[in-house]
Amino acid sequence: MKQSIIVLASLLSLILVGCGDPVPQDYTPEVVVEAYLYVDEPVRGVRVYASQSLADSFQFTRAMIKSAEVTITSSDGVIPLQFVDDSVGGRFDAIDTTVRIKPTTKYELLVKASGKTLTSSTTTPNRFAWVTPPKAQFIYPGFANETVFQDSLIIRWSLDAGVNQWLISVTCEDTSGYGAYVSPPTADTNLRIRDKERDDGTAFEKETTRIFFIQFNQSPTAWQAFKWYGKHKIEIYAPDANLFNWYKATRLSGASYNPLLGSIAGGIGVFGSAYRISSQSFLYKEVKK
Amino acid sequence: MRLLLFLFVVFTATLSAAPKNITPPPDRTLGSISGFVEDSTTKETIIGATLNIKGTKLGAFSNKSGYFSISNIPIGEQTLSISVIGYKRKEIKLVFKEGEALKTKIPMVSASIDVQEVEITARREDDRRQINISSVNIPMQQIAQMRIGGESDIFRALQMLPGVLTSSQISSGLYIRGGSPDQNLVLLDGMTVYNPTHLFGFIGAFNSEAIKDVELIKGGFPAEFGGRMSAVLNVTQKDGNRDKVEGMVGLGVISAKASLQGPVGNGSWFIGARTSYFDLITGILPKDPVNPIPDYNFYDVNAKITQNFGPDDKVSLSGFLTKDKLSLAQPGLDFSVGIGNLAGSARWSHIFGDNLFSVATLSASRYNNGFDGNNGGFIFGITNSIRDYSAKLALEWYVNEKLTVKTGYEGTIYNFTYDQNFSGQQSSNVVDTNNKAVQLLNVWDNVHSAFGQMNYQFTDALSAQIGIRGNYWAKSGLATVDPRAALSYVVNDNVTVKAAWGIYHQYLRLASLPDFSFFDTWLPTDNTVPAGRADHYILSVQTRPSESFDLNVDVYYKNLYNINELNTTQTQSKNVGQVFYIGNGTAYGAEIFLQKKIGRFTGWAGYALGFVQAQFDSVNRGAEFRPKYDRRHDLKFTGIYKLNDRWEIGASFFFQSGQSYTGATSQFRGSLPGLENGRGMIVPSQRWGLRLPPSHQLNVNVNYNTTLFDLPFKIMIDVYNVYSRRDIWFRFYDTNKAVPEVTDVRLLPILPTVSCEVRF
Repeated sequence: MKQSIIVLASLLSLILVGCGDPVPQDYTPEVVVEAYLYVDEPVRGVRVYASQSLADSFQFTRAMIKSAEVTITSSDGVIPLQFVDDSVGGRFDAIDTTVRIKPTTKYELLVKASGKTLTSSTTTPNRFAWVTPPKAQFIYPGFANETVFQDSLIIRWSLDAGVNQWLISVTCEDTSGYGAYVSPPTADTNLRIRDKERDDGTAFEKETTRIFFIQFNQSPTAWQAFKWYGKHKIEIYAPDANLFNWYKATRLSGASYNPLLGSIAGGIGVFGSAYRISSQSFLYKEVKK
Repeated sequence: MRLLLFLFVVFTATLSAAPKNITPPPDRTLGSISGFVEDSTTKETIIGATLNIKGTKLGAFSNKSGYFSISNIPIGEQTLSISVIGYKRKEIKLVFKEGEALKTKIPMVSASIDVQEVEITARREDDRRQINISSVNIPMQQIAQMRIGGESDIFRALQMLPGVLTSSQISSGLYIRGGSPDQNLVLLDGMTVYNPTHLFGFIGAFNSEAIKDVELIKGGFPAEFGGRMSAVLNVTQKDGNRDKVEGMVGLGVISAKASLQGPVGNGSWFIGARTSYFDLITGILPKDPVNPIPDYNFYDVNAKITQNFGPDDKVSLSGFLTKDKLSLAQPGLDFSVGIGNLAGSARWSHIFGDNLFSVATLSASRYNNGFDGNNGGFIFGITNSIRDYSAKLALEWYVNEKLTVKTGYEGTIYNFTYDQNFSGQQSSNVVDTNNKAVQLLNVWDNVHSAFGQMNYQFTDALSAQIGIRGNYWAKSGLATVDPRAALSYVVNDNVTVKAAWGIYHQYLRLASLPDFSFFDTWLPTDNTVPAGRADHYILSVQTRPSESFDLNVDVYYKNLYNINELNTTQTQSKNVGQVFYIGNGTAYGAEIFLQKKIGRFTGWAGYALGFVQAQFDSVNRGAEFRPKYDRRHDLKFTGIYKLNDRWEIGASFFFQSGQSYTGATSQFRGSLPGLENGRGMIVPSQRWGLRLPPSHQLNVNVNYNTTLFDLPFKIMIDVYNVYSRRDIWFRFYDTNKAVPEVTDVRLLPILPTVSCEVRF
């Protein structure tokens, strides 16, 4: 009887502490391509690298495939690219920087790397322009007043690009300097608007840019877009479907890559295009009453 | 539509002809009896009572209205035996005269546990015309004992049935035999309820105090039910006490509740309500304006009024209201979410002659949800709703002791609305001609269905149920025909073998996240997606090893066509086809269910072995995968033991295979223009290809019955997750770490609570 109870208890314990599948440690490398074409700009910054093992930290310098053959072609011919070393492992830029990307033009990408052939294509959007650009200077309303809508700060742009979803990018161009840009100049330094950013601890913590999407060709000033005070560049991107999907893959989805949001056949990544407009603004610190 | 009319006319004509062909002419030397079975104290009608003319094979069950009809009874003195769980068995001597049709009300006296053990012998197969396959009734006494935080919950009780799964322990959505929660038809007094949950799916929205009967049909349901592919949950509200006013007030950790019921005119009324009081608690806590605690509140109301107009007419009005609201107001972010149901029905049941029972139902149901917010000056919001306005007519004809016929019509007008504003401004300020930031969709559609089914007893052992249901959906112009068939063979008094087959079409689709009932959006089938369809094949062996126990074994196989997975990649959807990926699947398995409904100890043990596979061209690179909720083994026990009049102890335990999760094969950095460091991302392996460790949990409930100021007072102690097994809710790769870490988010630990209720 006692033996039976012991056997039964052991079996029960075994069942209750039973394990699921072990977390796999297999590593299957994939070739990743990230290439963006901007209308009226030369080709630059194409990255080709191998995905890395989960057992180690990710480093672009280790992942970059410098030996990749990268070709971008259009009806005007081939745009020759060359590998250029940089601080994040290197990139492929156009050799002839006078060759500019044209609007509403189809470009094709061919990458040969690590024995694989990857292909994609993009059709560039048309140009568009500011209707109401951001104000050159505006004042932060204070933490408690962020949700107060200010009609005077709405920015607008034209619909000429032929898209109905845009990306808004807000970049702080000097995260330390502040007083040097005001009149008269002061010794005041820049600082983060909020003591504790909600994205602290994430990959975006180090970024000086915040990027959002909008389905309307105008936007109020959303104060959450600013991480610092001071000198800013505000850009509107009219992205093609590939770039917009990549935005969804990297910003709106979880950390697990969704192949349906990539645009590279034979690998992972994006070959996207956009026309972008830019404006400079300066965000003054809150005026304490 | 013409097809439906044709079907309806043909079936009705067939029924008219049927008695002439397959039954003898009414025998004037035989009598009949019909009427209602009711509680002797409250006069509440009783569902599922078994009636039998002793010494014969004549019998019947009382239906959802408590009505029964037995015909072709030999003249002379006969004994009518009535038994139902929770009541003393009753025998009535009746004298049947030639051609006489007796009409009666049969009051049943509530029984103590001791008496039930000895006297109750519910003879399930007395009415051999009825073929209930894969159908489970959980007595309300058991549901009341299955609580979390003092809150007894129908959905928690149903989750303890074998083959009924959830996406997690904190979800009320029922995955039944491979079907998702939107594939279950949820009816409350004939009204369709679209989202019967509170707390974003954590608990069910049906107040168990207001409920009289809960029936779950896990598959193979007859033609009278339609519009869903998987299962039917048919819930009946209490009519109320026809004899005296009585009430209840209860206080639990999650909510407070109260109910009141009593007689009115020639009928009764009932009203019950629950409300949470998190907001009252947070209201007295110190305020932190920078990091405020969100406000949350839910409430629900069930109400019903019933009136009899003579012996043959009964009218009832039912209402159901739920509301959940979450709001947060902090500097830089205002946010609120609202979710609610509002449903009402009017039912008129009428008895024609002594064997034709009709129920006409008019109902309306609305489910809406929405959120709106202001994020640092950017205003946004979405609301969506589904409304239905339905008319139903069902005729149930007890033709003779061998044949019953049921036929009916259902027509529903649907209204779907979707109001989206992502413009950053108040939508009233926006003129958005070229964009999609402000959208207001308002779609009307109507659906018509006609059904007919007949149950025929060929021999003492063999019965069949044949049915057909025709559906027509106006918007898509789609007409479908759903044939259904079931057979029952009584091997002996204790063993019955049953089989069922049927085709089930579904027109509505639910865009929802599996783990939260947060922003569920019901959508119609338009021209871009086909209607969903399931084919059910079920074989069941129902046995009675002893007087107190039922032991059922079900084997099922389901083909699933045009099922959907939410397309989470879309930010602009122009049609239903862009909201979902459409694919096919199969589900098969076996279930063993041992249930004890009577005696001091009641409860059940169940085991299910299930397999679900799905294939979508756009998911998992087109390869077959098992859905997340697929769990291979599912073992469950529940038990309630009544020690004496004061103490009652209950416990439930389950053990399930772990839920599925998706692994990874490598990592990369996904960057964007201006974001040079990139975001850590993983390359997934086979979708849901790996399993988490098994889930298991023990819950214990203790009731102590006493008095408070001479009123019945009950103290309830519940211990949720007794040994604090914190199962994994979901597993993900934390790519914010330098080396990605596999991170588990775990579910609730042990949660002891005390609650109480007083009755007056």
